Amino acid sequence: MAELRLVNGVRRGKTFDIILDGQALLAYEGETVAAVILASGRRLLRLTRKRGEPRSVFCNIGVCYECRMVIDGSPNVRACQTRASPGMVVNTQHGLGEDDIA
Amino acid sequence: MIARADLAIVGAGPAGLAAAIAARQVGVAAVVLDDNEQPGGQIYRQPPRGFSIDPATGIRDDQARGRRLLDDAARAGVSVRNGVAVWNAKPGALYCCQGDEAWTLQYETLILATGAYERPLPFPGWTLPGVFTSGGVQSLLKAQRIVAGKRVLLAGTGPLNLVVANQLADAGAQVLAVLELARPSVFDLLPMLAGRWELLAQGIGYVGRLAGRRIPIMRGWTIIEARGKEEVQSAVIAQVDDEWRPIPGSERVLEVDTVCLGFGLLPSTELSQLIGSEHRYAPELGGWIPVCDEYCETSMPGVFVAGDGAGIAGSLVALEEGRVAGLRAAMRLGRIDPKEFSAQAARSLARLRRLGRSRAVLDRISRPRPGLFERITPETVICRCEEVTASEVRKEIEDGATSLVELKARLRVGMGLCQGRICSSTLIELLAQGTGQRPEDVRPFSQRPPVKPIPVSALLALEEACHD
Repeated sequence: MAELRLVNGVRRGKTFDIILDGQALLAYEGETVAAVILASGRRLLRLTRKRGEPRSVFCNIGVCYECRMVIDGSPNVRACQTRASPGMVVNTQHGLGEDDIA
Repeated sequence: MIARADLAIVGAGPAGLAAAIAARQVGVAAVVLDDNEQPGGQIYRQPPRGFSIDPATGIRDDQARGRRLLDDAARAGVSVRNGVAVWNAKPGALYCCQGDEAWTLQYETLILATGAYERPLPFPGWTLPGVFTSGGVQSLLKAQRIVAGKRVLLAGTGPLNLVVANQLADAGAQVLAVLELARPSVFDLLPMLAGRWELLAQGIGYVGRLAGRRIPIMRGWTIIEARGKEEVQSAVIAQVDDEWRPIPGSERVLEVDTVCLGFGLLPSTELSQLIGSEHRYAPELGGWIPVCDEYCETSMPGVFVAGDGAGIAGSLVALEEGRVAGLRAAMRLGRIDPKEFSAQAARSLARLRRLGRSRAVLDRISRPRPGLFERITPETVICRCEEVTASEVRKEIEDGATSLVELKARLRVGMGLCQGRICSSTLIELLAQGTGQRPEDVRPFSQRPPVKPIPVSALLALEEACHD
């Protein structure tokens, strides 16, 4: 199996790019930010405040808040609950994200 | 801003939607609020707009059932307001927030249909990227058609893992095994025949399909450690005894890139607790649930809890409970009399009595056992938000902490964005072990608003509105 984004049995809508850490990343209309990133094969969404540990999606239903990222300038936004939109600027969050806001 | 409703419903999964439909049919227009972007809840999660999913993908059943329920709701004239966080609940009022907008919803009757989330059970490495909840992996697959990984191990207990394993295999992932803690005997399953043929047949179907694919269901095994640097690369698994304690010497290591954890569900009770209704400790769930009568009404008249938020029972029970609660709320509002309530609710109440029997059996098989907590090492992270380890927690317990409130004051556990949803059930267990209290005697966190993070701007808007 090569692709994480399945092609059989589904028709997706329009494509567009989001900007993840300065790089363009392909997204389909309707996908969450978390889905777009996981589909690309990347898992890291943030690094923790105390230990700098990598964290990714855990519950994917908005309960655990592990997937928080800096999205369009706001830190602590849940990637699993946020729909990707054209040109959305998404950054890996470091700690509480104060230093990630330009 | 202040809005008013005869009936407010929180949650638009099966219970909330069924409640709204039943109420609408007897003339009560409910205001339905849901945190997700689309109605349907977790089980009936619909693909996003712009997607169309082929019915042959094997994930159609729940989505089709959900679609039918949503169509019923639309026909009945039920409207759902999605993307709304209900962050505080008081008798007579809900506090709502959507983006920067905040408002108060004053209600006469309230149905909480807030559902459940996966029971978080810590072990070394469970915070590594690539370790997911099984439900999370399933929703990624069902709603987004994205498969979480390529070499997958599932661990836990209960039917969800069997379902997800098949769905992952359908999607082309290599499923190494399903580790199932319980070893139910055939006698445990017999009472199911009394009411849930359909479920039994489904269960046998899942097991059969896994066997056909040569995916082993390893009964009496579980995961004890996830290893990796940037993300999970291997899993240490072990056999467990009858109390689910890992058996030393039985360990094996599997190369994986994805781990799914499905150890049962915990009800979301933040709002029912916050509002002040009576709760009881349910040992079969290892958590607190609202005390409800047979009509889903809590200790507070006019406040109802329906579906998994009242105890884990699945979507069939949720649909019937929702209907009963919706009709009962209409009765409380004086729109139908007790006689009409009885007539309208009779079928649902009869079904609930039947479904209750198999639920008790499932509860007995999957009751969390203390051995699972023996996987926790001193370095294991318990509170994921504040990165607090088991050794830090145990030290405070040795130094005299006896309640969750004290641990919170000393360690900030439960103060992160998840508001204790992930750590509190484990902390209760660690406190019980360390102090000799029974879990039900450990004083839990007191629920405080906001139960969900909201922007300060929303609070300010509310504050200004109050002074207008």
